[in-house]
Amino acid sequence: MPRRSWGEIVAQRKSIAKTEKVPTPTARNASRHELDSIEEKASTERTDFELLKLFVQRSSQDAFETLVTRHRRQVYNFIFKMVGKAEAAEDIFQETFLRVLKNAHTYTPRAKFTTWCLQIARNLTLDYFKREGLRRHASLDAQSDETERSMGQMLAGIVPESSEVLVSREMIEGVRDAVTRLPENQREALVLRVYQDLQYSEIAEILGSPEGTVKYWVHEAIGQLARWLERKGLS
Amino acid sequence: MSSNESSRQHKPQSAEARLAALLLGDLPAADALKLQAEVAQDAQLQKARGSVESLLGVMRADPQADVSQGALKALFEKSRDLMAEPEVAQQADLIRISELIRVYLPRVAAVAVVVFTFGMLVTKLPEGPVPTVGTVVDDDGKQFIRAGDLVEARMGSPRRVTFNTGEVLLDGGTALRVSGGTGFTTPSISLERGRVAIDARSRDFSVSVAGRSVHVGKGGLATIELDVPYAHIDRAGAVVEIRRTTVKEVAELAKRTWGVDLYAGGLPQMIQEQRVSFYGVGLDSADFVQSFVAAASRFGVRLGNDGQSLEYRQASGSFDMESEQVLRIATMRGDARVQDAAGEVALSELSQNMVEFRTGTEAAPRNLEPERLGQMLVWAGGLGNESIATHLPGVNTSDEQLPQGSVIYTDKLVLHGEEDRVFVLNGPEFNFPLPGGRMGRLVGLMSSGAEFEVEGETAREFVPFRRLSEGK
Repeated sequence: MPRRSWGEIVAQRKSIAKTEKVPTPTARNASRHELDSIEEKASTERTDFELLKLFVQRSSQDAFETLVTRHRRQVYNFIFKMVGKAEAAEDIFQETFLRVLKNAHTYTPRAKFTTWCLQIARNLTLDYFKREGLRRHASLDAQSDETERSMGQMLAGIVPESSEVLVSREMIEGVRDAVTRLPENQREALVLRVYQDLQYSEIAEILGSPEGTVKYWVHEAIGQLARWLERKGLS
Repeated sequence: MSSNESSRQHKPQSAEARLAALLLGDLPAADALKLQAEVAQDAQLQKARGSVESLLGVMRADPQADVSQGALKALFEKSRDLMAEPEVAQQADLIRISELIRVYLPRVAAVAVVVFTFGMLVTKLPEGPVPTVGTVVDDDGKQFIRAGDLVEARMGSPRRVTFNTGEVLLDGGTALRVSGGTGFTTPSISLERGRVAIDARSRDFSVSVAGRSVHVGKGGLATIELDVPYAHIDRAGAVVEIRRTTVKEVAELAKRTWGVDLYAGGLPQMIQEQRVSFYGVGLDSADFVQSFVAAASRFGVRLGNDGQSLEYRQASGSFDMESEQVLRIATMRGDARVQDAAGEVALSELSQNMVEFRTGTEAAPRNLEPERLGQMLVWAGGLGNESIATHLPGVNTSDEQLPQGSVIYTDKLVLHGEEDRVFVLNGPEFNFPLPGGRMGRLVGLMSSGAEFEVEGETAREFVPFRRLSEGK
């Protein structure tokens, strides 16, 4: 595929939006010629869909690893902010990309690859909560004393002796922990909007809910957390 | 579902939730104005708004975590095993690369062991089993960079990282993460903030930044600037680095760090959310407040007569809300390409060889004005690389450095010494003393130094800031 100017890219985005009824190809439909031309490109030049084609039709481990490397931060961060534990997050992260591997041939570019990945990650995260019997929401009042102290110290203006990074790790971790106690739908929406900085339209697609509802969840989540901060006298 | 339909299904929202909607920009303009008016007259609402703002600030300051190398390695091993299974392998209609890998893997592994052993012998590892992928030489001597390291350059102290495939020059206030690489292969480099110049002298070089990949061809030279909110105060040295931080957050910072109670609640909401940048060394609380107010003065902010509250006086002229994040990429030599989810483009296709991305805009990136490109060239030249300095037409680089305690605002420079001297950017007077008894006029400011027009001379001069270590 020849390199494209930004003008062409924008024009393509618009044309994609206007041609919804055109059947979308899957990763298993590429011709030999197309695959050859994709293989001629450097890894960084291949689109996500092109990498999936190489992976599905030519079993390219390199293509799979490039996809993982390209999107690992976004996917891992979503999972980590949802479960709040690195070890569990890494297990779910691995399972997410193994599901991607197994189901790559079913992917169609109707949705962004990251949206598809995050949908898989979300489903696995919810499975994890069910499996572990975790229903931590409605327990924002059950913060540990340790967390309260460190949050309180930081917000009260007590700073470390040697150096200070403005927002301390303790504050960040305290809020992060409180986020894991929100109801699941609010937590998902909040993580994707505030931590991941996704557009509401994309979040709605990932969660399978209307945009208006997603906004409501985000606002409610922030409201709950802010009231929790106030109750603790930490704001 | 329309917003009305959805709102009918939901309970009325709390004040905090409504304020969250306001601060996230999710309210229609009329509703936003109405709520802002309510807040202005209600102390409880003002308090709630403070809580929501603090919360959002903490959440946005939460850095992106990365999955461990161990988990990645395990994933890749599992994926290889899975691909060897029949139900997955049958998806491949053409070449069965995985089978080739299985056949040749033992031989490849044997060769890899030999190569690795040889590499261990010829590469002196200072400690531990993690291979060195690069080096930094600065005032503290030679330091080795290993996979996983975060390399930071403090404001006023540019650094140079040397890899076997090229060099990365870090401007002050920059952080980049190095991962992968074995000492023989190019490591993965991720720019987290600040500015770098990539000199791909012997091999192609790629850098990931803000969800994009920048690829510099062999022999190419490119600069990348990722301007994101960042704040750091090292109280021991009173080093202040404030970058793209909102007026409200800086006021809170002054209170937390020095106990200076700067009340920003009286400022209009839009002004509280404007972003300021300033830097300095050797600052006390008064210097900090002075620097802050000076940086925010272009938005009409000034210190009240009580010395504690921030006041707003409508500034002459207009200004736009600052984006939260700006990414600029430019090439100075050779080829560079930028790849994002939408596709890929060669910078040589753009006039000025430069592109800018701003947060939250889906629109195509835009070219930058020549003046901005000139700044990119100048700061890169200030890092002292000869090959880059040749790209600075009409600008000399000086060995002299600006004095300890220099404070840089977004549009002017203040030197703290026997007296406070303010040098306005592009001001009319040649009032800055330069080496050799010459006088200069400040025409450009970068985080690594300043560019001066010299009185009576055609050539400009770039003067780097003094390194922090020299002032201690």
